Amino acid sequence: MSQITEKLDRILPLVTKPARYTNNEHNAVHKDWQSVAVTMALAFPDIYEVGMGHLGFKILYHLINQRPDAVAERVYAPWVDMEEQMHSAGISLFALESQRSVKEFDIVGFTLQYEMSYTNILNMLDLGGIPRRSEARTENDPLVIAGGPCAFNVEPVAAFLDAVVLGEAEEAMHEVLDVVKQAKQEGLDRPETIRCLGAIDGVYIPGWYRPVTDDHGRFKRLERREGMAPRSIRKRVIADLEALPSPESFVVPYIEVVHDRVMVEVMRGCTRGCRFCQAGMLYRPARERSTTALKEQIRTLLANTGYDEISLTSLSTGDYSCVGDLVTELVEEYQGTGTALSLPSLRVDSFAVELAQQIQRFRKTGLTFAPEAGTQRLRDAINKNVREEDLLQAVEGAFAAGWHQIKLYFMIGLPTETMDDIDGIADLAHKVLAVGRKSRQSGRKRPTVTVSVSSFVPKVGTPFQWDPQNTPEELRQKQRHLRERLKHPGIQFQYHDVETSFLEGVFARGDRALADVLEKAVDKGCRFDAWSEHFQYEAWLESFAEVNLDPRAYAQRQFQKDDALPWEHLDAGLSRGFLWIEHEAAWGNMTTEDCRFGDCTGCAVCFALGVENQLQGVKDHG
Amino acid sequence: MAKVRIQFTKGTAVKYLSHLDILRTFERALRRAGIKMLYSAGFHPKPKLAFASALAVGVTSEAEYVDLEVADGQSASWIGERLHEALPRGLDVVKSVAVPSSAPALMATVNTASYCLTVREPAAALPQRIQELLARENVLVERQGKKGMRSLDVRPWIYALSIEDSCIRLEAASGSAGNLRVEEVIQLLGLNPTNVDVHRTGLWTRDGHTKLDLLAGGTA
Repeated sequence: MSQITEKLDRILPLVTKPARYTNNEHNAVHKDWQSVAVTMALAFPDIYEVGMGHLGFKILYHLINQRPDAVAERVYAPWVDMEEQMHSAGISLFALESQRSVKEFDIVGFTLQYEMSYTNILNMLDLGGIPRRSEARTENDPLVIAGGPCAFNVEPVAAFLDAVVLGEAEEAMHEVLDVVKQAKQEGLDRPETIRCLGAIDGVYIPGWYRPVTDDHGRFKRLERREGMAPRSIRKRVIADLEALPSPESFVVPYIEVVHDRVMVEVMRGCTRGCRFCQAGMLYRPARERSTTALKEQIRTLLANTGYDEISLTSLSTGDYSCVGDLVTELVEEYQGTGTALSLPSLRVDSFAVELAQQIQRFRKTGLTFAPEAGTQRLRDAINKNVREEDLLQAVEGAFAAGWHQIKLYFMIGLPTETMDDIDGIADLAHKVLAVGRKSRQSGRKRPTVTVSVSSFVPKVGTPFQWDPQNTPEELRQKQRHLRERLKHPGIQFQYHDVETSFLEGVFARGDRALADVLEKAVDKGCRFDAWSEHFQYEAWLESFAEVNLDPRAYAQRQFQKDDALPWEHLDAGLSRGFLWIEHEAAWGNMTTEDCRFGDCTGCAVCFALGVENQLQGVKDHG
Repeated sequence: MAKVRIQFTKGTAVKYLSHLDILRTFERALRRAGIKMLYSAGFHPKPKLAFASALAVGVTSEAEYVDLEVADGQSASWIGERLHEALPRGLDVVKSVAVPSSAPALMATVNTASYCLTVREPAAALPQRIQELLARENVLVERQGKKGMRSLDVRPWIYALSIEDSCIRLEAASGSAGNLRVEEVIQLLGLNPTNVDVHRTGLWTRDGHTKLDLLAGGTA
């Protein structure tokens, strides 16, 4: 028994859910380190149950482990009780498969899924004995890299990363591994290896740049400190999704995790053009996979995992051009096998209800729709092309078909929003409930409506990247108003913690000065900020004060048209002109059509990347 | 339909799994193995499998049992082999036998369990403590009941207790008619639970002084 196994055996009985840390799940890959040339720890900055549900991580895990010359192992943030036990037992943060410390790997790769996991990244580096700052690392330390949606404004955590991969990583990952493998074989030192990484398309080396600020400490421009540093770094994109080998097996967890089922990606990207939606802007163009390939992958994954549920994932599965055919064929194929089908994102129309009806295997309970805003005026401004008639028709269909709980998602704090729009949320909820009461069938349960309201956070790469976030006080006032207006036995009101949204807003459009704040916060014990029971707002405010930064200057900042933006060197392929036109259109309540069905909107992604929308269901496309 | 009874282990690699985790793992392994199961009726059909007894998190075992209700035409030995291959390391099929469809449920059959408790750094006084415990006429423990704490005499449920090297051998009542908890014995012997590895060595049907193997009466 290795030393760590023995130590673990003593502490695991003392922690909650010890199976988070024990590995040996079905399909986990164990490789002999002597037989591989390069080792990578895939680090997810949240607990096992959250990280294990992430499809991107599964894809990378199997993609790397398919290479005979490389190994990927999984690392998750230990829960607070485990962290305490690891401290007292003297155990470094370890990867599940080999139980080796993360420090022993060639590469530690973090995924940047949401801003509120940044403290966990620093804490995990601490637990692994890896210096936090890139500049402090030595030849004995791994290369610390990152990717994921937050990479498009990685500046607040740039100081902690040696390299960042922008965009879809399937191809770039191989290039990174090749470079590190070759660098090891040639005995290159750390700076030389990082230089080679920087030569890969889509790889950003934060250390090559230094921000220049004005007298008020505001970002002016980025100074290049290294001759080969490009002015901007363009994201990677997979041109042909069909040609990409998709994972044939998933690690099957023992304990319950989120999204614990077979997940297949029906398409990537979305061109609906909702102006608040970062994913819809960053992952363009829209590329669909064929139903043949999807059905084949589903068969393989079901056989290799033993799951009894399939989920068709994407940013908006209801928009997949063959969704009707695919669902019909899958229902036919798996009828009577005890295998269920789920669609995570429904459109707001009657077609969505028909689809839901087709796949409903269980008791009909809840159905969720996301009108996002309460009035037509605001839905136009955010380009969420949903009409009130569509929604009311959809819910009427749903109630008539036997569903009795309708959940509605909205956002508050959207740019251009007034109190009329807030009232519109309440009005709409009451209308939906009225429809439910009218179309309720005798003997069925009383209809209920759940209104779930999140607070808008302006994100980079969207038309709202210039706009200020509502202040915590404004958001609280709107929540209070809604709570009053939604006091009704048939309506449930849910809303998010305002302070968490505020900090998310700070980091979403933050700059490199925030690195100091993050370090202070971690030193004060901040971690798992997305978990309300661990969120320490006071400690955060102290951290800002100690480094003399005002968080409101970030979250509530109104950028002007010609202002330099601290993240603009991180290029998702969208033209700044397009984003600004969309911004102006929002303030003029003008909508823009989806380019899959209407004219080109001029976002410039296809041109910049040399990849166009690829639809399976439109034969004359192209 | 046919009923197949499986004996399996819970090894150290999977010792931290809960009973629900093991149930989930079996359901998935059965699917991977392509074993045709019977399903429950209702909105959420589940394969019909029934375990003999739940094993606590952290406890290993060499003798766990589960009954599978399967479609006809699949032999018990074939099912055992397929399932063994599909289960993760640590959950190993020891034996599989066909039992009559009318066989009473495992849960109702089991009334005795045997354990080996391995003590790290055992105290010298341990053999004496065991003798003292066995000599007592009543052994009262406190248990949480529906109406608060209640006192319970568990002495009649301790059938055998002895020590060999570093292994405390325990045989005790286990089931609805009477159930001794291992952690109670650990406490009664004044041991620190984190220093004790609990391993179940058997589940039985006890009738007077004879112990009946749960696979008895089954056919390959």
